[in-house]
Amino acid sequence: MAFYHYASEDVRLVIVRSVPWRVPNTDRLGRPREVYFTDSLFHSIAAAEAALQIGALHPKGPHATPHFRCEIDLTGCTYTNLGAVAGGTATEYATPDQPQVTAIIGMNP
Amino acid sequence: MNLLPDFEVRCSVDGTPASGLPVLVQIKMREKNDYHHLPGLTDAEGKVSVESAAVEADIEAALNLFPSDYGAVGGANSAFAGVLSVHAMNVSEVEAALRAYDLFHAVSPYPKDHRANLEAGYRQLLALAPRRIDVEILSVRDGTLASKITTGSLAFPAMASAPA
Repeated sequence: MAFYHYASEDVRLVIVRSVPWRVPNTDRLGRPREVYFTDSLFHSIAAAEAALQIGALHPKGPHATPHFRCEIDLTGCTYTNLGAVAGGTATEYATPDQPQVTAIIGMNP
Repeated sequence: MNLLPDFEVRCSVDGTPASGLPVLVQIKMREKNDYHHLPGLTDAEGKVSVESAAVEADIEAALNLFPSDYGAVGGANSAFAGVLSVHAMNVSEVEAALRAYDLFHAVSPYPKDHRANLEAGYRQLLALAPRRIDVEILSVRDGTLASKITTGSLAFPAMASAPA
C-alpha cells in the first residue's frame, strides 16, 4: 500500500534540505509531533482539502494550502490507523517517526 | 474576544524568584498534535506574561507550516481540550528548541529575539545547576474558552553538555 503526506511549500523546503528526505517530527519549538498521512492519492489540491479537511477547508478556517503530495516510505516507522477524517472521506494515519520521502509531486489546483 | 486567556507565570527556585528562564505553554488538543508557545524569559521577579494574541500567532504559524497535522482551536469544530499546561523548560528541551529554530526559521515566522532568548535561557539553566524549578500561575484575565489551566513544576535532569 502506498502512503502520502500532503505538505505546504514551506515544509517541502525543509524536507528537501534533509538527507535522506524526511518529514520532520518536531514542531517549531522542538517538541515531538506526530506526522499525519493517508493512503489516498489526490492529484488536485481541492480534492485533498475536501477529503482530509485541511487547507482551505480546515475546521479553523482557511489555512495554508497543501501544494505538494509527498510519497512516503514507512519502513521502520510505527503508525496508527485513525479511521475516516471527520467531515471528509479519506482514511488518516499518524506516526511519531520521521517517514522517509521518496518523491514530492506538485499538485494541480 | 480572545479564544484563550492571558495570564502570568512566575518561576522560583528554593522560594526565590528565578529570572531568565524559558517557559513553555502547551495547548492540549483532543485531536492531532498539541500546540506549544514560548512566551519569552522570566524577568527579575521570575515572571513572564502569556498573551493570547502571541499564543494564537504561534497556533497560526504551526497550522500554516503543517496543514495536515493540527486541529482547530475555537469555532464549532474546535479540538481544544480546554487545558493549558505550563512548565519551565529543561536543558534538553532548550537544545531541541534551538535545533527546531535552525530547521524552520527560514520558512516560518519567529519573534525577533527568539533564538537569543533560547541561548540566554540555556546559559541560565546551566548556571543554576540541577535544581527544582517551581512554576505558578499568577493571574487569569480573560478565560473564555479554557476550562482549566494547570501549572506544572519540573525538576530538570542532570545538566547536558552544551550544544556543539
